Amino acid sequence: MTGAAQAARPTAPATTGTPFRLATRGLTKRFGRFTALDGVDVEFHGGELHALVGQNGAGKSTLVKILAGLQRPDAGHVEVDGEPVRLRSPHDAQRLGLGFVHQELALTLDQSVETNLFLGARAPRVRGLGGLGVVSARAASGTARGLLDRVGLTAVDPRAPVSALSVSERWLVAIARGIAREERLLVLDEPTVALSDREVGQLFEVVGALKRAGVAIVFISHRMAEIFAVGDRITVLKDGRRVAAMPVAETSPGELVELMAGGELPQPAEQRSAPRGERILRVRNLTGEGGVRDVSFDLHGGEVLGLAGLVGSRRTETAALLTGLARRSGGELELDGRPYAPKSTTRALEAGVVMVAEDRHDSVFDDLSVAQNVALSSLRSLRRFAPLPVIDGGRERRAAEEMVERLDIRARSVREPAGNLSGGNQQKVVLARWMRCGARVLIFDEPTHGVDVHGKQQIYALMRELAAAGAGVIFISSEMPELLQLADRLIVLREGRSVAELPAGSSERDVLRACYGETNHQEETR
Amino acid sequence: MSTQAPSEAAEIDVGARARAGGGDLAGWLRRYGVLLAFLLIVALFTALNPQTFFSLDNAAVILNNSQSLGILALGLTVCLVVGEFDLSIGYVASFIGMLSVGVMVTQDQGAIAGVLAGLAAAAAIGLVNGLVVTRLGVASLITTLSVGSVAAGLNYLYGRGDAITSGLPTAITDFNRVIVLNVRGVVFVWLGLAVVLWFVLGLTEYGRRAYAVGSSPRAARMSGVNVERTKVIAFVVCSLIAGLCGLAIAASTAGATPQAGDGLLLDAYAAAFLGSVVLREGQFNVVGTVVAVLLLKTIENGLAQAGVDFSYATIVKGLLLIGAVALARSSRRKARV
Repeated sequence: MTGAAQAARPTAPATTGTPFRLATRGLTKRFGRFTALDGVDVEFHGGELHALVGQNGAGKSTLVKILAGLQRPDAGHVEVDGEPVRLRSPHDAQRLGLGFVHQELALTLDQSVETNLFLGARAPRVRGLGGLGVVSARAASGTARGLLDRVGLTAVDPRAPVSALSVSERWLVAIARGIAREERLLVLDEPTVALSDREVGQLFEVVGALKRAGVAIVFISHRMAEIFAVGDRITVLKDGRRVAAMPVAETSPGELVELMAGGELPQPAEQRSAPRGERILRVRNLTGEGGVRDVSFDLHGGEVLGLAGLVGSRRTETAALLTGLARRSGGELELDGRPYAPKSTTRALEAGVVMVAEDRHDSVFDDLSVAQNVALSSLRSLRRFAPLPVIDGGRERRAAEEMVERLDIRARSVREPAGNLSGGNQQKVVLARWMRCGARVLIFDEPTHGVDVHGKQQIYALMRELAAAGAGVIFISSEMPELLQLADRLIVLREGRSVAELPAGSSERDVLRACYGETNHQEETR
Repeated sequence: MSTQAPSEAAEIDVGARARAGGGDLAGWLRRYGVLLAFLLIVALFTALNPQTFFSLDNAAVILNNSQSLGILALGLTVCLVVGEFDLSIGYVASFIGMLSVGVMVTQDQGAIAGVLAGLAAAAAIGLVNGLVVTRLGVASLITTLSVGSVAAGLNYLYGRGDAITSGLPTAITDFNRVIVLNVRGVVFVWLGLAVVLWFVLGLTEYGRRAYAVGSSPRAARMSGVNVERTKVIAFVVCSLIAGLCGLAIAASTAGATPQAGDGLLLDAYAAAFLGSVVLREGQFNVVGTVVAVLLLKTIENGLAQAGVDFSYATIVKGLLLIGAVALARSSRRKARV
């Protein structure tokens, strides 16, 4: 990652004489009792890559939403080139040349690349009929070609549907659209999460070119290496306040973590505890929906088993087969030595096999209370009169409060809607639900995705704790360092097949070799 | 890991509370605004019709007029809780009324057979709705619109479109007898059903699952909830209660007409959506639905007493549905920041 990112770093950042300048003055936003932004001043300059960092809930998203015209500040305002501007809708933001690219890219998947490029931008019109908005198909595809070439997508056909593109290509299409709209400020929200190192390099090359052309780039990322490889300036937010703003050259990753954590560094994850218990889950030649072709491994109580693999290696799909979300077509599964056939998530849950999904919206009920979120899968234990399915509300609340304390979930009360919590805390609410129903096999799919440094350490510690209590933990992650740090053993998947088993203490290189298929055949499990 | 946390959280809370100030009034209005509006409307109509409106007798009239709509809206609430629509309920109420009364009178099979036949048919229609939606993946709006049309067709096929206006067994018409203070028996059936559903949705495992499915079917599936079963049960209950509504209409009118329940559909939606902003912030709930039904019927009663043409009352109700849905949406959005 670092190498590729550094390659894209421009040798001479253009920071002087920039015409474009966007500044926020005393920006404040409250949600009920919660202050998301508290008098924040930030300045973004054209030709500069400005990294915005902070823990979850620090106010980054709120700031971006205000710039995008999706939320209005309670106090303060936004200035462009020194003049206060109106930002009441996404249309206003677009008119000002502010562009936003985030993980849920605003592309229409079944339409062509070309159509997407001109969504919200002015497509070339038929001469004479231009006033009627008749789009000239030929001129449009010429322009589209040019735009795609500029972002390095020389091999992509403008008429291809976006759904046929890879994730990184979609990012580049979204950026090309920004060019078509003549954007002056581009906000990139966690752009590198789903990309391979090579793709990250490509992305930063394009971003670097935009920057040199005078565009202001705002970059939100949790990856320190990238920030230090490509960033020019950095602003640190904490609890809605700006705690620091400085050139990247004048700070260090250590200092940033300290600023974000407020001087209190989180404890490093516990050392792995070797005592490995009985085999809980036995997977042999698992085949099924979603492209899983041949996966085999054992999971023991007390261990954290890492699942490594590149994008497309079918790790999530394997988890879906184990938790009854997808249909199995072949292979054998055994749980505690007995055949295990999870036909539905209900069955999987009864057997104690659960998953913390990568996308939190797949597991959190935004408009239900924290208590209801926590209790949902263990309602039986909260019955008032054992044989009847009637819930004891007091017990439900106390059970939730107990989990809130145990997992350090930040919520005003267990009656608060879970949708109000920050991402990391929602993740813990889901975990609380699984812990309450006595899950024995817990699959974590990218649990630290978009979670801040402090939250990551908490999640690592929780996984360790669960394993120490006898559960088998399966840890899916695309971030090699955390996988190597935490896993007792690694299973490497490639294109739906388990191709290698690696012991703890393996190097990143070993894992990557297996991922890319350069292992010795002796090392392969099958 | 968590030693620092409680004090920190407390600090944030205190600070935020000090800053919040006006925020609580808005929240209070979102929860109690409809009740407040109810009081104002009662005050308004009392001023307009000082002699007749504000009396125990008139309250009984409003209650007696509310029962069939009230029953129908309760069933609809269950369906809306799981996040689905049922547009067939009006036609189902009409059909089941005709069918039950037909079995009792035309086929002379007695009250019990009539009620059982009617409720069985209602449950079957609900089962069809539920299975088509969950197994075939047809949107509930389309499914129930079509099934409603089928129910209307069966209604005419069975009864040939003729009303039955006499010969109902007394076991049925007895439900229309005054029990206390001019309030009729059917009202107690309605309120009794409300208590049962309040309990089921609020305090049982089914209720928790139903709200979870309505909030996010994907997350509910991940949590081990049988989403399909939860929805099918909701459709069956909704349809069953629509059938009960048909019986209530039969009891209170001592007969059956082929379109008796058709007109209640829109009012039931208005009540359920308005009810979702009573005491809760945009969440469908039984108490809210009951209050909203009473509110609607009070408006109808007050307008009639003030001599306002029936056409205007219909227009007011149409606008009220839009207003109620808009209110429910904005309330839900504002409750979740």
